[in-house]
Amino acid sequence: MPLQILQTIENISSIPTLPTVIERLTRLLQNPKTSAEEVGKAITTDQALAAKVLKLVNSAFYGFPGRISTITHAIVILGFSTVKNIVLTASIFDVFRNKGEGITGFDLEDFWLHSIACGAASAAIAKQIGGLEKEECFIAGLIHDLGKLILCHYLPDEFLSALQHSAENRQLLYESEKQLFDSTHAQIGGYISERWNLPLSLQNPVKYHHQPSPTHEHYLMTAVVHFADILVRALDYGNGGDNQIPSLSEQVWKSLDMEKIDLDALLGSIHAEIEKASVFIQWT
Amino acid sequence: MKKIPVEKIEDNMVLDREVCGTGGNTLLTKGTILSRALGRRLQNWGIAYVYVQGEEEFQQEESVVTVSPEDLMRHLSEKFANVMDNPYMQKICNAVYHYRLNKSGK
Repeated sequence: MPLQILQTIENISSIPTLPTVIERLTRLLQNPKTSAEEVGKAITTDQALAAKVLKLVNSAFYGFPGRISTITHAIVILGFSTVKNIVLTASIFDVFRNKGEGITGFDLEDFWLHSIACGAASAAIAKQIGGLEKEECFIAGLIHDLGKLILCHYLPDEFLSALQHSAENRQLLYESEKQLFDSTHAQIGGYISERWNLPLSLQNPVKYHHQPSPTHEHYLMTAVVHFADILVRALDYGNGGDNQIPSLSEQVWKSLDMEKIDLDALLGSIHAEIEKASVFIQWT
Repeated sequence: MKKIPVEKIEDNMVLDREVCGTGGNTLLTKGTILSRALGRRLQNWGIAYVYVQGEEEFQQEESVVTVSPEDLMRHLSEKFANVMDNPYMQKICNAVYHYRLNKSGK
């Protein structure tokens, strides 16, 4: 990332951090002897977060509506990894909630709708192709445009110029950012996700979602998010700041084995997954 | 399912049919728990009516915006204009067109 933008972001002390419970959970889950009670206790130290996690666990999105009453019960039913992902999802919403109205040409409601839909679409694609963790794909899709939130809140003048440039030249916001300040929301989001100590499986889809390459680790998940972004734009779920659509490479098409997939059925399952994700809409 | 004007939306009502904007884009999905604040946002988006769970009370004209095949084709052609030289994007555009057309017809 160009030094100037990196330094600007590094010097912004108000850029939010994730709650400490995430790090504590990561440490706990690295120990195979950790019990469900210990993880439950770690989560319930943050009562507000624990309440949100229970709300999510009991929503249609996770498939157990109204049947799980404690965090420990959730861990037993859903497993450590899924609960950790749910805590991470709830934390990400918490970090950016009530952060104002956005700026001209960038409606935060539309942005969140696009992000939630991209998460849901990533989960639906992952389910279709197999071999990837659905919940992790949801988070990767949800946060793929994290850098846009940082630009909107902390570098609004630069972001506004990129939005205008993209609209005037009818090109992707990503391309305008690169032309104007030699740095993109993907790079900035990648930097923040690194600073948050998110796993590489989430960092890389954020960093490379516009240019997935097999040379990067977690290429398949990155390709899933790239494809999900394209489909969600085509279906007009929300808006991420431009009205353009990225081009899908032959390599990604083949990596996802798309010739074997019924696109119409995939679009239907994406729509169903987005409907289930409506629990998140009220949080934005 | 009942159809109500957006100004009649109360907290905790549940959306029973997705709400689409004028371009056919989905604004809110089925199952969303509504609030008065969300109702005001829908008004700002130009939405007049929504379908919520419960017994039918109002008999009004259709509120969900249905997109004509011509408008949808024009919208997608514009959106895909820069990528239509890519055969994979042509396939995606074609699939999305048919999917959205079938969905709006239901």
